Parts: sequence; C-alpha cells; structure tokens
Amino acid sequence: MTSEEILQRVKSHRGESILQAEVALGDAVIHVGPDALHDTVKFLKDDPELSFDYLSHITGVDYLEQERDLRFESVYEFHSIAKNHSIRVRVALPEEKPAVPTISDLWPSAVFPERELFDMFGFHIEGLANLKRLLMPEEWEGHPLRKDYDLNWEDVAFTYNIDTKRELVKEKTLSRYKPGQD
Amino acid sequence: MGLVDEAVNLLETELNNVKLNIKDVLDQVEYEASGAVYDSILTTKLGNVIGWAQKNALWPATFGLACCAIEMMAVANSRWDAARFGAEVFRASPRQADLMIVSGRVSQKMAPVLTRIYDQMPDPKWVIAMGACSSCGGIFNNYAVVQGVDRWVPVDVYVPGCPPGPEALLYGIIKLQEKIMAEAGSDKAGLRAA
Repeated sequence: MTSEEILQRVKSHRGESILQAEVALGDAVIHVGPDALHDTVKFLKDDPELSFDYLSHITGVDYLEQERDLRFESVYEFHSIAKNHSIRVRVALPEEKPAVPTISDLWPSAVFPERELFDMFGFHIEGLANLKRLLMPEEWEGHPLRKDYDLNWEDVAFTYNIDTKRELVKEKTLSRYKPGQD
Repeated sequence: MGLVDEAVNLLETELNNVKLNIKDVLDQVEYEASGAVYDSILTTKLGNVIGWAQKNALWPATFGLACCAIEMMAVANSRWDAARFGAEVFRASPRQADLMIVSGRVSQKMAPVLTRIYDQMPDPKWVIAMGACSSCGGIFNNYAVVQGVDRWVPVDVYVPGCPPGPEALLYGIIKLQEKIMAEAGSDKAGLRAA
C-alpha cells in the first residue's frame, strides 16, 4: 500500500483518535494522543490490510524552545514485513509529566527502547514492569538526551584552570587508593 | 664590672657555640652514615634486584576498551614485539597480571568494572593510561565517558595520542620500566608491594 492508502485506511477505522495525519517526505505519519496510542497501534498490528508486524524502533524528541504546545514527542516506527510498507506514529507529551503507555504487550521488543526512552528523556512508561535505566548507571541523575542537559560534562583543563583536574583526581582517586593504607 | 668578667662571658658563649656546631655536624654525619648503611647493604641492593625482575616481567591484563586496543594488540605482534621488554604475556586473569593498560575511553558504566579488575590485580601493580580518552576524556567531553581514568585508579604513565601508535605504547612501557627502577628499593616501592 502507498502512504496515502495507509492513511486512508487508518483514518476510516480510527479517525476519532487521530489528531493529525500527513505524508512527510513520502512516509505515512499519524499523530495520536497518549490515551489513544495503545488502541491505535493494536489496530495497526491486527488489521489484515495493514498488518504492521514489525516494530522498527522507538525514539523521543525534545522540542525545547520551539513554538509548540507540548515539549516532548515519543515516536514509533512500524513496518509490515508481509506488505512492505511503513508508518510512523507520533505522540506529543507535556513537559510537566511526560507519560506514555507501554506497547510492550503487543511487541515484546519494545521493552528496551521504552526503557531507553525513560533513561534518556525521562518519559514515564505506564504499565512497563521493569522501568529502570537501560544505558546509564542506575544511580544516575538527569536525562542526558534532554535539550537542557549540559552538553559539556566538565571544564577542560587548560593553563588558566590548571588545578581543576588535579583537585578532581585528588578527591576521587587518592581517597580510594591511599598508598600504604592497608 | 671588670674587663676580666666580660672576657670570661664572651669566652663561654663562644665555647657553647662551638659545642653546638660540633653536635650538629656529628648528628648530620650520623644521619648520613646510618642512611648509607641501611640503604646500601640491606634494602637498596635487594630492592634493585627485585625492581629489575619486576620491570622485565610486566604482565599486562587482557583488557581492551576501544580503538587503542588494536594498537595495544599490535605491540604484542612480531613487528613491534613487546617481548623484547618482557611485556608480551597478556594474562586473561587480572590475578596473574601486574600491569593494566587502559586502552580506550572508559564509559561511566565501565568504570566500576575497571576498578574491580584493578582491585583484583595483586600488588605491586601499575597502570598505563593509553590514549587521549583514558588520559583526560579526549574528544568525549560528555555524560557517557569518564573524564580521565585517573579519577578511578592511580595512573603511572600517560601515553598521549589518538590512538598512540605501538611504538608510543612501547615508549610508555619503557618509561614505566624506568620508573620502576627509579623507585626500586625506596619507600614507595615498599608501599606498592604492601
């Protein structure tokens, strides 16, 4: 099916839950709310005409300082191996409490990408049993892929701040390995 | 007060000064002599032998982290041949190794693992930070990478480069050997072995 036909079919069956549908650079894209996400993707999977049987990937977007009502977006890409067509589902999420339902009951492979969403963007994945950080250490603070996360981790030691690194090393390593302490 | 009393006082002061000076010189001689005896006969000679043995049998832990590990592996090949310096035996177990070559960027999650491997190595042990990333974070000034492995383990030799070639790493190993010999027999070497 072409992208236009996919959108036509989705709209005719789930028109009430679709906020917006467009063809972006040839790809079929639908926008849904977080409440309608699970129902919509279940339809995408079960419908014999569409039969999106493969979850390509899940990712997040942070639209900080852009003209948008909702800061975050959770993006799902589905592909149909049998029909060889694809669709993208975008879910806009508010800044205060970004929460999105899990789709790992439909696609078990969604568990890791959803944990990564939680790790990197701080989205709360509703219904995901093992909601822990995937990539960063578990006691890590902050969500690194948010736009307001510091890009530079640490001042680079130059001549003007030559003691910076020395102090950090003293504080971290020498406290752990004091020569001859044991 | 007569002139005689004044002369006596001066003489006594002078005598005291001379006595103190002689005592200082004697203390100094005694200190130097004791050090010479202690260093030359007992510890230094044996320490030099031990240091010589240690520097010519540096067994690195098999611990490759990133692209620097490729150059580290090349060091063991016939072309550069670290066996000439006794550092070719890469041990698969940290308990048999005494040199850790941190070859590559250390991610935040890898750092506790690296520290554990370092802790498992028997004393005395040495660490070479190979490449820009393990020395200072390199180009990865971000949340994912430790900004210098010296935050986690004490580093003896830093080898700069991105990545440093095998000859640079060999030079680092030679520098480490020089350091081991320079420390041999001293208190520092004793603390390492403790």
